[in-house]
Amino acid sequence: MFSRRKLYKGIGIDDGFDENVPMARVIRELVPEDSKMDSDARERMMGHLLSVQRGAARGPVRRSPARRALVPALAFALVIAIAAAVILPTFLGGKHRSPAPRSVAGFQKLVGDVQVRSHGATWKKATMEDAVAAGWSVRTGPASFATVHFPDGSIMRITDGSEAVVTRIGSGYVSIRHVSGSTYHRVRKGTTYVVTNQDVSSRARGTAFNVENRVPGHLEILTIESAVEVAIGKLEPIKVSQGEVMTVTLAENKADKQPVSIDRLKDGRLMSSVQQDAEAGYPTGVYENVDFSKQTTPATSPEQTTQPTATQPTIQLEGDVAETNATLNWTVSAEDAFREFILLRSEGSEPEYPADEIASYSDTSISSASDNSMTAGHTYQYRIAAKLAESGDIVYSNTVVLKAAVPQKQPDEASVSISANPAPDGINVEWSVTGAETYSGFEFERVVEKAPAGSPTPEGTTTTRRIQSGDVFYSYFDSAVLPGHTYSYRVGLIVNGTVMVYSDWTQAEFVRK
Amino acid sequence: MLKVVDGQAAFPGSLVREAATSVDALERLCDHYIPKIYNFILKRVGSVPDAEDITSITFEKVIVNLGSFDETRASFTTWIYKIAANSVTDFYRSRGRRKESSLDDEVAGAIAGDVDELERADLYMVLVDLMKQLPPKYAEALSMRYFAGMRVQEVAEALGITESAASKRILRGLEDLRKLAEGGPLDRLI
Repeated sequence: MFSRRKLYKGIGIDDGFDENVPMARVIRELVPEDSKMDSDARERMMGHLLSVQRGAARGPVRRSPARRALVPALAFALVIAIAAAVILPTFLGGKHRSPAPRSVAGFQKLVGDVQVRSHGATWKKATMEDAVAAGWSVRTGPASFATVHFPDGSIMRITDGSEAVVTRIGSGYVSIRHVSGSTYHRVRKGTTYVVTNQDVSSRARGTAFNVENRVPGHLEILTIESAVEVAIGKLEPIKVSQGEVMTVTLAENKADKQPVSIDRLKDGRLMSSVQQDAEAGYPTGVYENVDFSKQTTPATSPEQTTQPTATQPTIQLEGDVAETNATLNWTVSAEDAFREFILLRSEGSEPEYPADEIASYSDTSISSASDNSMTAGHTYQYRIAAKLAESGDIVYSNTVVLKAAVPQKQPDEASVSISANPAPDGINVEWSVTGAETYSGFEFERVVEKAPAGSPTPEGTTTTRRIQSGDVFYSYFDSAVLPGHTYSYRVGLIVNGTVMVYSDWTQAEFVRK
Repeated sequence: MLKVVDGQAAFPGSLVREAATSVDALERLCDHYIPKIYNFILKRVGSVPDAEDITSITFEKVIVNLGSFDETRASFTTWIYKIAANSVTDFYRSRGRRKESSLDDEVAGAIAGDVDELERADLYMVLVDLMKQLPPKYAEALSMRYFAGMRVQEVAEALGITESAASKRILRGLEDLRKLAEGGPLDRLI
C-alpha cells in the first residue's frame, strides 16, 4: 500500500527550477533577515500555550452508562493503588520518588484581594486551584497578600498593593518581572532565579531577598540571606550581600549600596515575609544577628567582618555624578575617631583596601573628594576605608555606585512634535524633529487608552518598538488597531542608544468605516 | 525521523507526540519551531503584533490537533507550516482583505541597516502588499518557498499536492506577482 507521502516523493522536481525566474530573484533579494521574537511576547505566548495544553490534555468528559457503573469500582481500586504506592516503599525500604516537576507554579497562600491574569485575558480573582504558568501576572490589593510556590521549591511572596509577572518557569530557573510594590523571594539552592524591573535585573541562587519600588523612580534590592547579583542595564553585576541594601535611581546613573538599617528591617511587610520563612523552617539571614532594641543602627552582615560594630565609630558616604565627574562626601559619627581616610574605587567588584586605593587623606577634617578620572559609560563603586585613631584598624563606609554618563552632543532644546490621525484602515502617526542633528532613530510607544470590555488589548496595553531612521520627518501607519479603541502615542529620540527626549502624548480613536 | 527546513537538526518524532501532554516536550518543541514559524509569518504579514498573534494561534492549533497528525502523510515541519499558512489566510479573511498595509519597523529594521537601505525596506513593503493581493493558494506556495526556504518537495507535502503541481503553483504565483508589480516600484528590479 502506497502512502501519499511516498507517492509524492516518487516525482522529482529540480529544486533550482525557479533560479532564473526574475520575480523569484527579486523576492530573494528583498526578504529580510530573521528577527527574534520579543522575549516578553514569547513568554506570554508560552504561558498561554501551556494553558491550552492542559485544556487539550484534559479534554471533554463524557461518561457512558457502563462507565458510570465502573466509577465506584475504579475509585476503590484507586484508593488501594495510592495506599500501596505510599505504604509499600516504606515497608520495602525504598525512597519515595517525587513526581517530575511541572512548569507551572501554584498559590500557597491567598489573603484579601488577589487577582491573576493569563496571556490575553482580563484580571480575575485568584484561587488556590490556579496554575500560574509563564506569562501570568499576579497583583494584590490593599491589605492583601499572596504566596506563589514554584515547582523547584522557590517561593515568591507578593505583599499588599504589588504586582509581578512570572515570565519564565523551568527546571532550575525562574524569571519574574517585578512591576510594582514589593516582592519577597526565597530561592531554592541550585535554581537560577532572576527578578527584573526595567533594566535592572537581580540574579540569585539559593538566597532570600526583597525587591521594592514603592518610592517613585527608585528600586530597592535588599538581601536577607546569602547574596544577590544586581545588574543595571548591560553593566557588570554588583554583589549585594546579606544585610546590604542597594537603591537604584532608575532615571539616573547612580545606585547606593550600604548596610541595611534596623529601622528598614523593622518594616512590617518585610518582617511578615521573613516570619513566614521562619515558620517554614528557613534561615532568616540578617535577622538572626539583629538586636531590635537598638535604634537606627545599621545591621551587619556576618561576611563583613570589617563593618563597624555598634560600639565602633561609623562613616557614611554619599556620592553624585555629573557626566564624568564624581563628587563624594562623607560624615563620621565621632570627630576624632579616625586618623586617616582612604578613598577606594573599583569596577565590577566591591572596592577593597589597599588594592583599590585612589587617594588618602591624613587630614581628617577633609570630608569630601572629587574624581574626574571616570571613563564615560563606566560604572564605579566607591567607599571609604577609615583607619581608627587608636588601633589603626580599618572601618569601611557604605558603598556608593556611580555611572559616568556618555556625553551627549545634542543641544538640550531638541524636541519631537507628533500627531496621530485616524484613517479607514488604521491610524497614521507622524512626527518631526527639531534641534537635533544626529540621532540613530526613535522609540515608538503606544498605549491603549480606552478599550471595550473583553478587548484582546485591554486598557493600559503598551507596545514599544525601536525604529531605525535618520529622517527628520517620519510617519508610521499603525494597522494593528481595533475599532472602538483609543490609542495614545509618543516617540522618543534615540541618541547614543538611549532616549534623549520624548514627544508629548497624542491620542486618536480608531473607528472602522 | 522528521525532516526540518534547511537541513537543520531533526526534531525527534517522539517529542512531537509527547508535546500533547508533556510540558517539557512542548517547551522543546516551541523552542525549536517558534523562531521559524514566527519569522515565516512575520515576513508574510510584515507586522510584529500580527505575527505574534498568528504565531500564537498557529501553536494553539498544533497543540489541539497533535492527535490527528499523521506522520505518513507529511513531516511535522511541513504540517506546522501548513497550519501557519492557513492561520495567515484565516487572519486576513477575518479582518478583510487589505489593499494597503504598513511594514512593521522591526521587519524594516532587519532590512534597513542604514538610511541607504531604507529603499529596500520600502520595496519589501510593496512586495508584502502585492502578496496579499494574490489568491491564497499562490501566496501560500510562494511564502513557503521564499519566506520559509522550503524545497519543492516540502511545499508539495505541506499543500497536499504533487511536486509537479507545487512547482507549477509557484511559477504561476510568480507570474501573477510579476503582473501585479508591473508599473510599480518593483518593476525596475524585474
